[in-house]
Amino acid sequence: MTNEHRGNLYLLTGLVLGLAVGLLISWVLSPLEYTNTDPGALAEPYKAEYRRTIALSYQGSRNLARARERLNLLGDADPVQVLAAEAQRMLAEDQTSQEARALAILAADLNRPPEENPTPAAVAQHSATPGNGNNVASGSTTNDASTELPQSEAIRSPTPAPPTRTPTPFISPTPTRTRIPTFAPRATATPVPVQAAPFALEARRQICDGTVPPGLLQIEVADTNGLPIPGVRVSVTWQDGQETFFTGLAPEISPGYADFLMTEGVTYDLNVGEISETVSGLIATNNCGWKLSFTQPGE
Amino acid sequence: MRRKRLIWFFLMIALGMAAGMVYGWVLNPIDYVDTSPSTLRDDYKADYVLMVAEIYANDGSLEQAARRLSVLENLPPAQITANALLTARKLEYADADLERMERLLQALQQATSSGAGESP
Repeated sequence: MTNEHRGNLYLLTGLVLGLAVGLLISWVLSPLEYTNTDPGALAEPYKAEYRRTIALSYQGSRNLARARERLNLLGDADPVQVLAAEAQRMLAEDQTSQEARALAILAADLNRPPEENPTPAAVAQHSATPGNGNNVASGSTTNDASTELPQSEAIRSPTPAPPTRTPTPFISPTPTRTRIPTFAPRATATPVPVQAAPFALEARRQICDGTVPPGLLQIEVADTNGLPIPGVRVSVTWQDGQETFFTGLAPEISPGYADFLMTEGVTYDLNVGEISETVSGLIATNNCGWKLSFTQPGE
Repeated sequence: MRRKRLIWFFLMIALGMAAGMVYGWVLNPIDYVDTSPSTLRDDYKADYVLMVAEIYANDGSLEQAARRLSVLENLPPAQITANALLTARKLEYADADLERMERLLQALQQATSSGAGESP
């Protein structure tokens, strides 16, 4: 009896051993490699690059429908929030402001009601792509909702190539409503000279009713028609440093909104746009913040 | 008898390996996430190249265009653009889009040939 059991046991051992080796080969040593994937399967750093490319491309074409369809390929639950968060992250890391601005503008335009959206550039030559009808690239200038992208049929092939796993960096999906200076103060503050002002200060109000966090500096920028403008550069300077950011990084509040958290007792100056009048003497005091409204002066 | 047991042992290992590989490759393979752009389907690659061409048409920076294309594949930017253009023509992209991609390709080819001409 004992000998018979021992005989069965060695078969089971062989099976288990073989199973373990088989799994090791298929999951670790030679995992499946996929081809024909879609952008939603990309590793996060590549998705971030993809978003930046979509945003910069949108800057030129102003084809919002096409930009939206391209963003949908990435499979983000909330593309607007992801764009705004990416823009904030880039600014915090002192990366190129042009890309951050493009992301902010696209986020803001996606968040606007359709009737407020900018018209695309004159691209009447564009036409919907026939054939499989599944390509977003040559979309029409109108919002071609009928262009549907298929789920990609990734082709799986076991290959002996070693696995290449791309580490996923942490990117917070939730944009912060208030911004705190995150980089070390620079040695000299660079005051922006007063020149011809494309943005005029319309209102300056100190808010001490407790409805905003103490020291919060809120900025709203609008055009001559009162429509909020995203992507407008805002520069805040103080004795030991300066920070630059853009409107539109909190599209859930307003496309033309930006804010900055001041330190109590520090005096700040602020400029909006490339050249604008300097708003001086902004000080955070107990329980008070500031709200500034800028508009483009009419012709 | 002993030899018979050994044969059976190795047979079971082989069976186990086969079962493990079927499970790992077919029934429960690794999810295809965190892929690189080189695995993208051709029409997505072509669209990406179109975006790069649109950016280039707007900012004129060939260097940045080449950098963006290099993210896509480990090939010369001109080659990437040429491949994408072939796909774009097959998919019957709009003329304006094809034109942008062709302009980008020409610029990249000129940059490559002038660079080659300058080398000793």
